[in-house]
Amino acid sequence: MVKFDLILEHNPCIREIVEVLLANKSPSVQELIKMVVEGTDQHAAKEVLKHFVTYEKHIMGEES
Amino acid sequence: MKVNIDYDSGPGLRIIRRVIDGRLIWVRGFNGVGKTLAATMLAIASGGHKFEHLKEFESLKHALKFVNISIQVDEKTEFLVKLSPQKWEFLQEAMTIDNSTLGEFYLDGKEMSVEDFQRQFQAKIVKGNETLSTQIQEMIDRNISVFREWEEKTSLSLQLYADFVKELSIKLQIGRLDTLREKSSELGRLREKALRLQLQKKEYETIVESLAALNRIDSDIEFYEQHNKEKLQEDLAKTREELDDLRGHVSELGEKRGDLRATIRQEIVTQQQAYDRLLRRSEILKERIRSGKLDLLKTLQKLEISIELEALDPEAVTSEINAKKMEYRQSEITLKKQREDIFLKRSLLETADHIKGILVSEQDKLFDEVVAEGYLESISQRIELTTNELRDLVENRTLSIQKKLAGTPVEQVNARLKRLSDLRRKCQSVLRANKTLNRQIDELGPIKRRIEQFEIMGGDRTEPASQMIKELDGEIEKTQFKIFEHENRIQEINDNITKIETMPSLESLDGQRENLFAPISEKLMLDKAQRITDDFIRIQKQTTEKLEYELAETIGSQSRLEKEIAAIRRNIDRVVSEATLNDELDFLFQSIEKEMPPTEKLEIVRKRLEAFLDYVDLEILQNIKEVDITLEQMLEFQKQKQAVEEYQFPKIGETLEKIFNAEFLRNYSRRDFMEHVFRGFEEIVGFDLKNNEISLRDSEGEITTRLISAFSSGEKAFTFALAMISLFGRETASHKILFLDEFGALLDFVKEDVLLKELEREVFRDRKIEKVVILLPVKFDLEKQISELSRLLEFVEGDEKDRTRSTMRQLSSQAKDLKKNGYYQYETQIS
Repeated sequence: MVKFDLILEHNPCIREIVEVLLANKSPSVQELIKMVVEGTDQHAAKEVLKHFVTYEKHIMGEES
Repeated sequence: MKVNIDYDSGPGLRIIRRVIDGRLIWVRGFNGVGKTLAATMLAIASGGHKFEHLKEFESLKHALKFVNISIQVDEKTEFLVKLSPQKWEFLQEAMTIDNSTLGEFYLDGKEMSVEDFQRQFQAKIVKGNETLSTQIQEMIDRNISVFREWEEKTSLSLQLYADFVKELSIKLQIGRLDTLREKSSELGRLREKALRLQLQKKEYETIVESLAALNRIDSDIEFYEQHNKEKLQEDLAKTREELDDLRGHVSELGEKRGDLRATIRQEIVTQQQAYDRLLRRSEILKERIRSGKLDLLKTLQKLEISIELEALDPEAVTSEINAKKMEYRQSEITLKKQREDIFLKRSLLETADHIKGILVSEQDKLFDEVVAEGYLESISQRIELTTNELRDLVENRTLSIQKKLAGTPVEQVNARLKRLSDLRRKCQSVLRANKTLNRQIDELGPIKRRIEQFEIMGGDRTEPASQMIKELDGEIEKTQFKIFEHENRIQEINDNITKIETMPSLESLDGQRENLFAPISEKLMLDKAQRITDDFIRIQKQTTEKLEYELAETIGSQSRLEKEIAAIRRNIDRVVSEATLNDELDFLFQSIEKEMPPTEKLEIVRKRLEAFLDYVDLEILQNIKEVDITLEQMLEFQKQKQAVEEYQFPKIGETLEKIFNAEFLRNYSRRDFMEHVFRGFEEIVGFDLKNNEISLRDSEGEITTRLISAFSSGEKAFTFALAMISLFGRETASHKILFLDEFGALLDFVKEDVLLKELEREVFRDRKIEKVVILLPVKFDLEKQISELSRLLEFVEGDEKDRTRSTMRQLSSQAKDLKKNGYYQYETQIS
């Protein structure tokens, strides 16, 4: 599994890009992105969806 | 510092096993002998090797079984590294091997941690073909790899989530919401349609009623136009008179017909009697004919004539009898000839007896005297006979005649002749009986025809009267029909008179028409003068009926749909109820009010699932894709050496430019680069990756813009390498070994002594780096050099000769190594 945090740790440039992308995003969105990039199995799908449902208002609120 | 490498690998992979002691070592060898791989092993051990691709790592891991590296720093210090490639784990994020899986590390025989080892020892490979441009491209490429991988992972995740969401949707039967929506929408349309149809139907019913009333009024008006009371009364009187006449005529015709029937009745009695007589006579004749035929048949059988009863007709009988008669006649002639022959033979016999008597009596007198001469036909010879001979001859003849007479007695012939005579009489009798039969048959023919006539038409005499009766019947029928018509007409005239007496006045009818016509004339586009016909009303009624039918259909469909919707709702209620109690599904319903109807709950869940996929797709994957695309464009700009287009996503392009600008400034603004690569400038102002430019400020404060590719020449590559060497020189590890790889091309631009001079300044001064190993391909023909030196020996003397000999020895040793190992190495002394 590709660890999102480790990539950021090893690549300062990528860390900066991600920081720009995630600027003003809540931790729940950051966590969601991390889960999406890392998780590619059925269990992960459920966990990601659970996370999304739990923080739906935050996530969608930020979008709008 | 000297290095020994022991290893075991699969076929095709080689590593040079030794790097000799010395500060500056040149290793020259053929391609594939493992020069770079030896450097790579040391870089891996010191944690400083980044793989280009996962495949490169996998290939190395699978090829190597073990690698033991001994680094003899000096007599006191020796590192031992036991790499265990089979246990290596790849850190894809950093494109390196996980330190904890590298292997075992020892210092002077004592195990040490990998971190301790890497703190004390560092190996670095600086490639001579690296330039500012290639390094920038490499950095961008590394970023692309990460984002592309994220993109792939996110795409995979999205696919997985889509499947998972699909699975959830199936479990929750979310598709029913669409069905419910479609059916509810359809129900709404049906309700509207039913309402519209009801209104239309009601409207048309009113129209049809008005039209019917108008039709009645028009009919009454028309009646007024066609009839008046006085004329009707005249018609009534006239029709009644005609009716009386017709009734009288019918009565007369009836009487006539009665008379004719009486006449026919009488005639029929008379004819009946004649018919009875004919029948009796006919029966008598038939009986006679039948018995006559039977008698005839018996007689014919006696005459041996065979005729079937059915074929027994006078002509056939006559023909058969005549034939028989002819036969009998022939038989009679034959018998009579036979009888005459008998008589003749008897006479001959008497004569012979008489002659024989004479011969006997005269025998003594005429003894042996010829008494007769003759010609015997049977032997064609004349003969002469004596008395005895003649007597013998007569006797023989007598005997012969007697024999013949004995065969057919005359009585028998006579009996036969008598029988023939009887038969001929019988034939005559048959012919007579046949004649009688023939006459009876002839007599029966006309009687039968008359009987048939009677039976067919009852006799000829009633025919004219019957014909007349038929004609009378026809006339009576016609007259009765006329009577019927007149009676109807009278009824009709009477009705019309009554109608006129009871109808509203014409003025009143016109008024009523006006009132009814006005509201519907516009609707149906009617002209005021237009009469409302039954056909017109029927067409409008058909429209009403059609509307009624359509309305009934619509209400039926509506009812069915309502039931279906109710069933779907019940199903959704059940599914939602079960899901909220299910550990696997209940999270989807969190924060939804419990009192909310199940359909609405499910709708919220559906929107959540859709929003989730949309978010992952549009907000995450799309963002990653956009970054990836922008990085790709950025790399393309570098490869093309100029921007060929605008950034597809300008904002991201701008952001990435800033980030990379900062990164490059961090990397290349260091003193090492300013001294070597950007010599003559004070600082880097910034990079413009889109336009492939770098801006630099000189000591005067003037800013110059150059193409990044301008720093890619061989000379610039050398300065770039020097910058990299300089950077490594400032690493803090106690023991450092630097490998200069791919320097062959660089040495075409830069003389070897310049390189050495730069190395002395950057590396060896202050022992910034302990050992430098320059890896090069085999360039010189050692044998040729040795040969040339041996020739040179003849022309030199003293020290020069010694040095030449020493060089020759060295070259011979190298040639030997090259031949044996594929490479050779030597040290260059540094001052």
